[in-house]
Amino acid sequence: MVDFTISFRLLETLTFALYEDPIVFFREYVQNSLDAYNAKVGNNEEKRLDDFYVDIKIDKDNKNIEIKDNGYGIEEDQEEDQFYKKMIDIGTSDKHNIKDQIGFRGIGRLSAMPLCKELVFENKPEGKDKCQIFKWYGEKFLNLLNKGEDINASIEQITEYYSEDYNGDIDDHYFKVTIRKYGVAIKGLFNKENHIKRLCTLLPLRYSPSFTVQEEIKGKYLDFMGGNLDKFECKVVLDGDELYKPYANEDILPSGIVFWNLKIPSDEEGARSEKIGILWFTFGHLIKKREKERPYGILVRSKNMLMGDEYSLAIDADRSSSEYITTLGELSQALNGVCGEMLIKYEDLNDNAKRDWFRIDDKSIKLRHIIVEFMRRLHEYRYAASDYVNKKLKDNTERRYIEALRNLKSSYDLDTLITDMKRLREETEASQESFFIANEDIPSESVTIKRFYERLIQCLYNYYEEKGEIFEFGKIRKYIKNYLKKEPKS
Amino acid sequence: MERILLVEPEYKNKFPPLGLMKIATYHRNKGDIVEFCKGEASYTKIISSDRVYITTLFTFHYDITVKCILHYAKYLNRDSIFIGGIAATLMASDFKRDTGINNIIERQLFSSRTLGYEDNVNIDSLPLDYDILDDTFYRYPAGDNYFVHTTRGCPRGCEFCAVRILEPKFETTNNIVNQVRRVDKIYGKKRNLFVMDNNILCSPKLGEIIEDIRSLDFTGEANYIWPNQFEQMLGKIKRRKKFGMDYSKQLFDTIDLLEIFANRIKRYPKVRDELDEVINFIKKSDNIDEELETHSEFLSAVIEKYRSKTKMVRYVDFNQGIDARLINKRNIKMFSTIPIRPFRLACDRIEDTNKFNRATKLAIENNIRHLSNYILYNWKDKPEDLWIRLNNVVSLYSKNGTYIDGFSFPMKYAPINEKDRSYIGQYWNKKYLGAVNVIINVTNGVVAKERDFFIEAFGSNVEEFLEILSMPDELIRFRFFFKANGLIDYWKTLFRSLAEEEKTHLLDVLCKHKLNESIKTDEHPKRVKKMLVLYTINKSQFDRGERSYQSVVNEVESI
Repeated sequence: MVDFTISFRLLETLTFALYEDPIVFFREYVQNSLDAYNAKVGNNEEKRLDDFYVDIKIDKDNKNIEIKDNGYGIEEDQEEDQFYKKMIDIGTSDKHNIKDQIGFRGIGRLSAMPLCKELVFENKPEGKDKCQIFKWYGEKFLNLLNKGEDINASIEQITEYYSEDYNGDIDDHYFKVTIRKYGVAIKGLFNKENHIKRLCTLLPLRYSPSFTVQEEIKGKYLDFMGGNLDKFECKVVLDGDELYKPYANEDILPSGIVFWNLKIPSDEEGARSEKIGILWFTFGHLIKKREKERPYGILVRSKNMLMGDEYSLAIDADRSSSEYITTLGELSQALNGVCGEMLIKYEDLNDNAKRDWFRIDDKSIKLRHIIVEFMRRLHEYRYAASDYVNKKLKDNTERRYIEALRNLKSSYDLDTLITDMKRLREETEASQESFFIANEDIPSESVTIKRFYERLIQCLYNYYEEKGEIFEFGKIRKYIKNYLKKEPKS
Repeated sequence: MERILLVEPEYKNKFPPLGLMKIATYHRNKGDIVEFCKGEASYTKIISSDRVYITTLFTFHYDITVKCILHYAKYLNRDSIFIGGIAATLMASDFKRDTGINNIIERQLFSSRTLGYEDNVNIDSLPLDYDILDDTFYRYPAGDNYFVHTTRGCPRGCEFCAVRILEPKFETTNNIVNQVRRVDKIYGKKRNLFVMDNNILCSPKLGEIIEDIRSLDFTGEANYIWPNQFEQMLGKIKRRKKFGMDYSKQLFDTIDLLEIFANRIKRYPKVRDELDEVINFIKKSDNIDEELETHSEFLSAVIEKYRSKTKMVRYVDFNQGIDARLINKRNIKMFSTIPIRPFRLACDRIEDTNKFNRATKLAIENNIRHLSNYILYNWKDKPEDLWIRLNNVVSLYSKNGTYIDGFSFPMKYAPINEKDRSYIGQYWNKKYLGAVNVIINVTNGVVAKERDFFIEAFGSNVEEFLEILSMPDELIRFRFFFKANGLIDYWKTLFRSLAEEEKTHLLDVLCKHKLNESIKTDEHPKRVKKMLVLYTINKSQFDRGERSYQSVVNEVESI
């Protein structure tokens, strides 16, 4: 029998501090299910199920959540009670030795513990007539934590392990996590309308069948990485409905899907150049904030598991000490106007403990170089496109625009985009012609400023005209115009 | 088959990268896919490349060049990156140290073995691949011409010149006729010929070379007609398709070309309408490429019929200059049989003036009317030497009135192993060098032959020249403006009233790295302090009405 050898404070760190956002426990449990299933299937295709899935049921009335997969559970071997052993081993995991496994720390299973009264793990292996149950009493744990008790002395008070007869078919198999009597933190999650949308972004889900361009994405991934993306996808059903990644065909913007193959170069120590994944994204003629309900940003997924959020690329590029592109705010704004995923599979890239980014090492720094390059190209395109359409007085805007487009989208089919852009520019020019005064006074300002200026001057004109002092209007217009000229631009 | 990326860092330069154009030919002959990029290529392009060749040019572009190389090294194995060209040859160990790249190709590429290939091709002797220049939006001012070498190296070995290191051995190389004919065959006839020899007068075959040039239709007669651009574009697209290169930009350019042409033939409305209709049809089609080919016969015929066919003279430019010391009556006669524009001589030292004058006079006597000369300064010369040499050229050229079209090109010396242009010669100082720069920048770096311009810009004697060099740069830059408002005269009055030691103090201050700080904080004699006010002037302050002649005078007087 293995004893607990960690302190309460460490347990607190492993649970509370690492998982600041309560929603991430869904990710931990789904990931554990998928990992356990993939480990079992391994090279043994006979074990592959036609319909492996994770079923989530939320009972808001009784404040219970059930996360159950139809995988093989934790099977016993002859010498040890594997289920019990796993339940009490905190901070160790055997996953890191197994290829294609996502988690490796062995702490994720406790992520919901401080958020509920009871955290119950139920294991039903195939061919057994009993199911094993391990309970953590979350509320008691918190009380002991507050009193500063020693965990080894008090472990009996906060855990319980027993078996129950299973009444169903002996060949049934599953693993179930039940969060009983969840607290305010989880309750708060469901108060927000967008919790389903957040789950769709967070979990390693499949693409919706109606998102037909997924074939192209999966094809590119297979071509470049030589492996299937499917095995990192998990069918997840929430209260009877399957959840999908939030993309639809209508999210594909005029650029079409752009692919970047991701590869890190070999290093001085002789390590070989390696493929680490693909980036797919799509953008419009102008990089403008997407509609509220539509997906945006580039989601980084390591083996399909979300790392960080929509703005992670901007944050990582901003951390670069060697290269400055622009402010974090501007980088984030650029990401508001694109939509896509960075799909990474690289064993040497380890996620950090919080699972919100990769651990900083030479590999992740090399990935950062790529991210910086992407953000720089996107930022350049954003400005080049905007200047081309709006600021006709600048030199070389067309050349800059086409160059930026080619840098972002290294492909052969730019003609349609450029033709569309020319039309957009003409339309914008036509709309700008209504700025009779602004075009004369502040010709190189942006459309937004011109629009405001036009209204302001029009208002002043009406005022002075009514008073019969049109000469005064001329004076104030001249004054404002000169004032704006002197005003340093922010 | 390999994917090759050729790179030139993003500095501005007149000539295309000839070395890379030859490497392009070598790889294309091997069946590789070749692409050229000016500056930093996008990530996707880099990682899909098997090799990257980066050229280098001036050593004073060192920082921008290293930055560019490191950009590629971030995404590609350093062993796949090759650096070559002039700066890399001159500073190989610096490049190795600062980029971590060991593949530095020094001097010419005489064998492909240097690149690790077994076929032992002399890459230096291969024709240029002009198609790579269409991969970039950068336009080389002299890009669309012939570039030939008939010799390499220079036996002179001048201390200030890098040729002795770059091409240490003087030797005769290629056959000029073959070089030009090969270009004609693939890319069509170019107008002008740049002979890039360092010292062609040392060639034992000068007579043959001149004869060859004449035989290529460089005779001084107006005999060159621009080729049909539409057909040229179709040729480019065809070649790019064949070599697996992106040709979307060329399709786009072809449509632009057709639209511009349609606008030009307003006098023929019927043809124009017909042309417009075809262009619109092609633009709207899903396969522009195919439609262009389908309509190519019609389009080509229309363009051929209505395009300008003005005949022009083709010129020869011995771009690296001709050694004035070796000019004699025999060889100048040979030169006079071909249309040289400009006939470039050099007057690097004041001691060479007589020889330079003799060569210039011989050229003029032999009806060579487009002249220019390189004038080296900031080397072992004094500032007054520069004025004397420039004045000498102006006198020489202006004696022949409007017949001569000539200019001087002052070239600031910088040691060939310096990484920037901050070198200051023994007799020069920072202020004077800055002022010369401001003066010649007004005319794009050249000094025209007109005496009135020369006197206005450089003064009518050495004393005036030195006075101008002491003047605030802003006053030099906007000379007419400040002359009209009286500030130049005001500055002169103050300057001339200074004692010699005060002038020396003033010059010392003006040469300081942080001028504005020194003006505010350091101790200065009162009259110098007054003068320094004029060095804080900025023309935009006058444009905005923040300063005026009177306000400046008041400011000075208040000290």
